[in-house]
This record gives sequence, C-alpha cells and structure tokens, in this order.
Amino acid sequence: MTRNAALVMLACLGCGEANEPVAARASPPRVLSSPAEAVDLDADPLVVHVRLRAAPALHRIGDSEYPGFAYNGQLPGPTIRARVGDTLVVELENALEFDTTLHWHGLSVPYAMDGVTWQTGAVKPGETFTYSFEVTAAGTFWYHPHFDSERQVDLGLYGALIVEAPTEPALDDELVLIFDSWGEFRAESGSGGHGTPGTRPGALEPALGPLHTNEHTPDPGRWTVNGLVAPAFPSRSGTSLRVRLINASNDDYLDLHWSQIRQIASDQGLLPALQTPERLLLAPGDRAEVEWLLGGDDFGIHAEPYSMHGGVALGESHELLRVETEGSRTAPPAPEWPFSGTAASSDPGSTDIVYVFTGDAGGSDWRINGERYPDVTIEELDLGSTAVLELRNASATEHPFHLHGHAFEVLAVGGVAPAVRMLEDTINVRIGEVVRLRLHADNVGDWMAHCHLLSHAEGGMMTVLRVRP
Amino acid sequence: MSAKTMTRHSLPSSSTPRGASLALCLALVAACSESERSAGGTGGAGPDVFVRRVVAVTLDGVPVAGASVLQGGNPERWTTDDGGRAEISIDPTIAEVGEMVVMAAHSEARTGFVYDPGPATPDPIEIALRRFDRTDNPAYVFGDPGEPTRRESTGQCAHCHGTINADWVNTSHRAAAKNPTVHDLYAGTVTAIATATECAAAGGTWDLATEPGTGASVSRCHLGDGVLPALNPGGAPAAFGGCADCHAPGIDGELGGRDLLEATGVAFEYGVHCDVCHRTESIDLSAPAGVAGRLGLLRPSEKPPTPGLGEWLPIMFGPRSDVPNPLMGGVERAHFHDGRLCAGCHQLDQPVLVPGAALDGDRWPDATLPIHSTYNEWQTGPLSGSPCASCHMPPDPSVGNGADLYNEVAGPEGVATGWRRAPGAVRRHVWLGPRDAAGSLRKLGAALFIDKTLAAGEVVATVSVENVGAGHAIPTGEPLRSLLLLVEAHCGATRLAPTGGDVVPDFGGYLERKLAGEDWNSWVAAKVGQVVRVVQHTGKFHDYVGFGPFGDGRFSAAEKGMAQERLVAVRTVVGVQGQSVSFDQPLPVGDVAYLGESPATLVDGAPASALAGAAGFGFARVLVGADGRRMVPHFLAVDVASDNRLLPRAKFVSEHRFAASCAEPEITARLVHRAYPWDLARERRFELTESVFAEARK
Repeated sequence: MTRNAALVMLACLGCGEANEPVAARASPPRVLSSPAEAVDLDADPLVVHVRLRAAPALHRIGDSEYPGFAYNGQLPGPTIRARVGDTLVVELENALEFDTTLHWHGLSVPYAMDGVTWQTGAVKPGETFTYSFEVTAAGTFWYHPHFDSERQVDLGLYGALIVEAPTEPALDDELVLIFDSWGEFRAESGSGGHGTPGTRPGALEPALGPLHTNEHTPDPGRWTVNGLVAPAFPSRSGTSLRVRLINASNDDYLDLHWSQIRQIASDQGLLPALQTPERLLLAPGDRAEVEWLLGGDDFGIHAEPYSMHGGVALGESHELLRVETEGSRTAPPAPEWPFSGTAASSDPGSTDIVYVFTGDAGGSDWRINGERYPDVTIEELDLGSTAVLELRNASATEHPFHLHGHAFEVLAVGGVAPAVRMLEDTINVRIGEVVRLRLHADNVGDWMAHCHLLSHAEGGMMTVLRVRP
Repeated sequence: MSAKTMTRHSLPSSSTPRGASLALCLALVAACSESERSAGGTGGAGPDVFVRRVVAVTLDGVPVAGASVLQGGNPERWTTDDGGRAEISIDPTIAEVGEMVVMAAHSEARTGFVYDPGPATPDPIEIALRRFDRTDNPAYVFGDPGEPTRRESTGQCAHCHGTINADWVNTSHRAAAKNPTVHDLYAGTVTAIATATECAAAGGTWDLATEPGTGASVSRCHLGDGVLPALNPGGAPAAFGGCADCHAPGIDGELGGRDLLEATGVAFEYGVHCDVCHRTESIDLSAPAGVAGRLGLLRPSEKPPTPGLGEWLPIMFGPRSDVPNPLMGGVERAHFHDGRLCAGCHQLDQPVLVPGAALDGDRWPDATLPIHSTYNEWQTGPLSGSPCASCHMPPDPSVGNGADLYNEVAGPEGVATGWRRAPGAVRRHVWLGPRDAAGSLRKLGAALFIDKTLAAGEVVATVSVENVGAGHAIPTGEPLRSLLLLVEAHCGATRLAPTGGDVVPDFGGYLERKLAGEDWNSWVAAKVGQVVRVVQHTGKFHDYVGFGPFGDGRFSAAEKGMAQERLVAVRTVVGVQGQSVSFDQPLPVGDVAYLGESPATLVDGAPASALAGAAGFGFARVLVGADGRRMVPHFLAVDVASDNRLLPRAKFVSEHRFAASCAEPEITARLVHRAYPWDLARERRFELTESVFAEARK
C-alpha cells in the first residue's frame, strides 16, 4: 500500500467516528441556496458561539465524487452570522490528519486569533482550539485555514462570515454565493509558504490528479457556486436580494457580468456610493455585495475568460449560475442604503513601505522584495501611525494582495485615484501596475501580507508587517 | 500494454503506482459508509476520457531514451524509456480547440509528430526523429520577418505570427541596426546637422560618409567621437568595435566582426529579428558577444527532402518542444527560458579598443572593462530566480498560440498542427523597458523615501534611493545612461535656497566649469537666469557598494572614484556684459563652480538641463577615455572611474539642506533617467529628456 492510500484509509477510519449528518449519495438537485448557517450555541444576544469540525469529506462536484475536507460536513462550510459588536466564539475541532487553523479573512482580529502560524502554533490533529474576538466591522468576510492553505482551501475548507450592521436596510432576501474553482492544488508545486516546509502531506493528491487544470486555465465545468456546478437560483419577480459574493478559489479569477450590476459593497462593507460597473472582477479572496432587483426576466451570471497571466484571456464566456424568476411583477425599487458619499483620501505623495512582487509565469519562485517567506525582512509601523504602502507588480502574473489584521484605503491604482473611497483588505495588482494604499496601523501584531493566489503564497510570496505597541 | 480508455478518475500520467493508489483510494472512500460527505451539485458534463497509447520514438532509426513525448495543448510530458517508448494519456478534448497531434522532441532533432493519432489501439504511435546537421551554413540568407502591413508571403514570420510580429516591429530590437544615434556614434557624425554651414558653426567637418542602410556616399557633418575614426586613425576601416555583432547580427555571410555599415536590407531594417534569435542553437558565455561567438547561430544547411519547404530544410530554436510544423523545424533550447539568450548581447566585457591606449592592469587584471553587465547583475542578485522575460516579455493571455494567423478568421488554433495554449503561455515580444514608447517599467524599479528635520531655520532632508524592483542594477545596460536624484524644498510656492548637502555629479551636465583659482566672475556663455552652483570637496570618497570590484572589496573608497561633494551655494546670473557676469549674491568660496540651468519645475519629458552641482545625487557607470574625459562612449574607454549604479535591493542615502522660511517646508525628490550624458547629447544633438522614474514629496 502506498503512503497516500494509507493516509486515505486513516482518514476514512476517522470518518467512521464522525457524528455528523451524512449527505445523500444521490446527486443533489442543482437548486442553489445560501450555505446553511452555523447554529449559535449561546443564548446571549451579544455572543455568537459556533462549533466547526474540520474533517475529511467526499465532495460531489458535478457527477463525480472527490475526497476532500469540509467543516461540519458541509461545502461550503456553515455561514457564520454576527452583528457589529458581537463577540464571536468559534470552537474548531481538528478531525483532519494534519495541522490546520482558521483565518478570518478581512476581519480585524487580535493577532493570536488570526489563524496564522508565524510565531504561533497550528491546531493539531485531534485538538480543539477556541477562537474568540469581537467583530468590529460590517461586511462579507470568509474563513479558511492559513496553514497548508493551498491544499486545505482547495479541498473544501472555507465558509462565509457575515457581519451585519444595524443601520443597513433589510431586503426581501439574501443570497451568499461562494465561488470555487476545483482542482487547482498541485502538491508538487508548493514550497512551504503557509505550511511547514517538508511536512506537507499529500494524502489526497492522487485523487486530484484528473482535476488538474492546464496552468490555471479555469475549466468552466470545475467552477462551483456553493458547491454546485452551473446551478439555478429560483426566485420570485418583484423581489429584492442582497447578494454576497466570495471568490474562494485558490488561483482563479472571476470576471463576472450580468445584465445590470449594482454593487453596494466590496471587501470592507458598504461602498460610499452605488457602483454600476459593466464587469465585476473578483480576484481570489475578494468579496463584493450587489443588489438584485428582480423583475420577470431570468438572467445568467457569466464569467468571462480571465487569466492571472494578464487579465482578459482567450476563451469563451460561460454561465456560472442562472437566476430563474417566477411571476411577472416588476422590479422593486432600489433600497435606501446608508451610503456615506465619502471621497477618497488624497495621496500624500510619500511612501513608507514598498512591496514589489516578482516571479515568472509557470514558475514556483514567488517573492516580495526579493525575499521568500519565511526568510523575510519585517517592516514595522508604530501603533496609531498612518502609512502609505506601495505595491508594485514586476512579475508575469497578477497578484491579489491581502493584508491581515487591517483594512486599507486605496489611494491610487496605476496612478489614478479611485472615484470613491475604497476600503479593502484584498486588492488585485495587475502586471506592471503600481497600487498605493493608505494604512492606519491600529492593530498590534505580526501581520501576514501576501498574494492570495495560494500557489504563490505557498511559493514564498508572503511577508510580515509588524505593528508594534 | 494494451491500449484502453480511462475515465477522468485516472491519472494523466502513466504512473502505475499512482494509479494503483488512486484506485485503492477511491475504493476505500466508497466503502466508508460513515464518512462525511459534502452537499454537492449535479450537472456538468459526464466524465471525460483519456486515450492511453504507447509512443515509440527512434532517433536515426534507433530507439532513443530520454525523448520528450507530448500532446499538443496538453501540459503533461512523458519521457521515453530505454526502449524508446512512453505510455501516454491523450486528451481528446483538445480537439475542441485545436489539432490532435502527438509529438516527440529530442535536443538533437527537429520535433517529430503524428497528426490525428486516432482512437485507442494496441499499436504504438511511431515517431522517427532524425539528427539535424549542426554545421552552420554561411550561404543561408536570413529570412524576412515581415511587418503587420507586409505579411503576404508564408516566408515571412509575420504571415503566421501576427501578434508577435506586431509587438516586435515597434521595439528597439527591431531598430537596433538603423538607430541613427548608434550610427552617429559609429561614424563620428551628427546626422541632425543638415548643412555644411551649420556643421562648421558647430565645429564639425562637412565631408563624405557612408549612408547607413544603403552604402551610398553622402555628405555628413563629422563631429565628435566615433568608432570608425577612433579605432582606425590611420585610414581605411579595419576595426569595427564589434558593434554589428549585436546591433546588426543578421548580416548575411560570415558571422561576427562585420562593419555595421554592411547592414543593408533585412539586416539593416530589422536589426535583431526573428531569424537571428530563433537560429540560436547554443550559447557560449565565454565567447565574444553577439554573433561573434556567444550566440551560436545555426543556419540550416540541409536540403529539404520534399519541395515546398524552401531552399534549406527549416530549423528554428525556441522555448518550446511542441512545434512540429515542418516549416519551422522546431527544436527546444533552454537558453530561451533563462537569461542566457539575453546574455548574448546584454553582457559585454571589453578590452581597450583605441589603438595605443591601455588599461591599468592592477585595476583590471582580466584586461577587460565591464561595459554591459546586466546579465551578471541579475545572475548574482536576489531575483535570479525570475528570468528576464518575467519582466520584459509579459504574457499575453489573449493569444492562444504564437502562430495566430487564423485568430482573425477561424478561431484560436495555430496555423497548422496547432492548438490553444494555456493563457499566458505566449509571451509578448515587446521587451518592455523604461525607454520604450510607453515608458514601461519606469515606475517599478526605483523608490524614494524622504525624512526631514527642521531646526534653526534650516530643513534637512534625508533621501533614500532604493532599487526595489529591478533584477539588475539601475541604470543598467549602455553605460551612457545615468540616473539623477534632484531634491527641492518649498514653503508654499516659494522655492527654498539650498544651503548644503550632496549634489548632482559632473555627469549631470554643465555649461561651463571652473576650478578654484580661476576667475569665477568670467563665463563665456552665461545668460541671465542661469545659475552658478558652487561645490566643495570634502576630501573623502563615497564608499558605496557597486558592481564587481566596486562592491566586492577589491577597491577602496578612493578607488571607487566618487569624491564626496557638498553644495556651498547657488547663485543666479543677473547680469552679463561680455564674459563678465554679475550674480544676485556674491559667489562663495568653493572647489568647483558649475554654470548651469535651473528650470522652474522639473516635469517628466522636459528637455534635459545642465544640473551638475544641484541639490541631489547621481548614479552611473562612468567610463573614462585615454584623454581623461568622463562618461565617454565605451569604445573609447580605458577605465571605469566609478560605478555607483544601484544593484538590486541596494540603496543610497543622501542629505540635503535648505534655508527654511516656514514651519512645514515640503521636500520634493525626483529620480530622473537620462539616456545620454548631457554634454554628449548637446554636442551630437541627440534628443535628451528628463524621464522621471520616481517622485516623492514630504
């Protein structure tokens, strides 16, 4: 028996001990709904207490089954819902055969709760770790491991984290859409970025062989929406929906378009004003919120071919999901969002920290400032200081830059200031582009700053930004 | 092994252990009734199938081990065993976007192929490779690359490689042989001077010269240095400086050592073109640059077995093993993937070329001077893991195949036996750089960081210039290039007077220079509004970390050749009578006085000014001629006086002082790139602008 097969057998033995609901073997319907939400175990209205169990799982993607992982046996993992000011308590039980963590992507949390393994430990197999922190900002966030991420995220460990603000209107319905492109992880491509070098287990690697894609050529059939391939979302005409979109893919971009994009929020909650772009680009790790004001017409959410190797790519548009409306009522009026109208901050013209991304297409040597994680120079900021970060992409691919523990304001992209104030935690930097960010260092810790193409992060494109007390 | 079909659950590789483990894995999972299962969807296409086949490869009739076997459009690669066989998994879905072709590639043979291998059968796919003749053929005539507007013939590269050609045709590589600046420096002429009168006024000689590209005898203004006059002082040119070996590598006939003026036709019009680079079979880094030996060109010498393939059996070298088209004769070479092909010309160590001159053997024991060292700078830097192409040849995901003729009419497949490659597999042939039309990469390399302190009516600015993004030094390549740091201070709209600190070196340009002891109130060509910048030497030298001996400990600070200069004061010319000049304030004492210009604002693209002695600094490889002149063209060089160009991740910190008239003076720092030394550009009438690489305010 090979090592891989033995590990899978061990994983299955572990499955037998699981006390979780077992999904039906038959192909589930293609009807789309939001991922089931985590149960709040605490009666205190100011505390949200949930349990997540990370364990092996068998995913059905299209008509095929693939061994992977899941939280609470669910793909995507349970959506965690809280309100600004709540204390969130999450018990993570590690029923995997290897270390894992939980990272709260986009949320400002205490460093010890950030789920990284820089100077802290991972959650060992069989152990339980309790994450606890106050949620301080409204928006659409997500959670995923920040250890062995390229493999664990690709194989199903992710879920949405919704933080509501009391000032925002309630629409008729809400839909959480988590997009994922399957089969991106290649065990042999990693080099120990998120994980510990030399300890990356490849137990399920062979089963993913057939899913390997062609140098990040997104195979339309491999995109899933909440775990479903090309699903349909049934709704009623005359309905308003708040739709929360998350790109949980390791490496693939979503260049989305549909009949009328009405974007109300990005990474860090509501935008200052409604945006109506023709396309909506979601880099890996990115989120956005849109409103759907449904009339009687069905419509499709399409993804245009888009490559990390320079953007718009050769290929065909494909429909990721279809919205099927019942009835013939007219579209409801637009809700009154409390848009702030805040203008973008002016660029002070000076720079405090520069991060330069380098690496070649098809390569595995990905660097920030010529260094590969974990052998990096730590840039430092004082707590309470405001700094300008400049991102420069001198590589042959695009990079969605993600900073932990903080949100940042976008000052300029390619020398052009945004029309409205943009607060983000993940921003795509195109090839040859310079992006300037304004950062208020308000959270003490050693914060990961990295490319959210997980193969790049594993390949070394990650560094540490220290905010000192 | 019999042929069979496998579902997508099989591996694309023929690895039996992995396949066995997979089967066991799936069986175990299926039997694990208590396992957690995720909710999932239905839909999507049914399982795809791979076609398992055996490929038998021979080289000159003998089964060959180590040959690559591949399917066009499929990223998997297989290698033949000792029996010349490889078991492969053919992806039939490739047929949806391209041709079904199985290929075998070997370093000693053109890629062989079988078109449409058909369904699974027990019979092996047989591919017979034949060793190519490694004899370079001087009788071969370099091919016409064509242009976007002239691509009617299949003999032109542009006919099929439309997108790549359209990129290349606008590059400096294409213009390398006809660049008028190069020719002026080659012949010692000033093409911009069009009349004998103007030439005489400039101090030149109006005389006959050979017209580049045609060989015709024309009148030109002979003024300033040139390769031909400098290296051939006695008469008919016999020494050509190796210029053509890189600037016009496609001159037919003997390779290397040719006269640049022999470049005519394709060699002149297209400079560094397809049929030169893609004829490069090998690289010898120890040989002279360009086609004089380092680029091992192999021009085809075999007669084609069938008509329709041209006079010679095609052979081309490139980064891919999957180019089986007989009109190409593709052979993969690794030097297209790494920096070695670029090192063919972007690395030049040169002996003294001027007759009668010699270099200092103690200082340069290898008897050569580092002229172009871009390859070495990159190779020894932290970004050597990213090849040159990662910055200079970005991917183009909108192109599915380099041979994209049919993109226009029939989809993404290549012209023949083609397929769609993965997005980004096709690299743009643009060689982005700071001097291309779009100024690409200008904003990526250098960064400026400013700190300032204010005390006793003086603001002190500390400016750090750092090479954060370039994998080689900045500036790099041609040693005529320089970077100038210029620092200003303002209180509102008022520009503050500099009172001390580092200054732009002499290569920033000056109208006239006077040393201590000379009459500083007498200037030949001063005009009202110009300035005199007074500089003092500290007696010390900057101990920077530069390239080669300038950074590896061999040279002392003094041997590194950058004297520490401090600004004393700047005075403005307010009156001129003959050569007698009056200033707004008396000139202070100093070691050097530079007469220069003081533009109100320095904007990107503005004409270059004479800025030596201004608050700032400078970075360059300063070549010195036998007569002691600095920043000379490299054919005159007998020494490298200094080389403080910023290596990858290196930084230099300078200090600048200004008289402050407000509580919050604003410091502005700009880093500008110059293609040529100011005085050379002025003499030869080269267009010279201030190209802003970086700017910061604080």
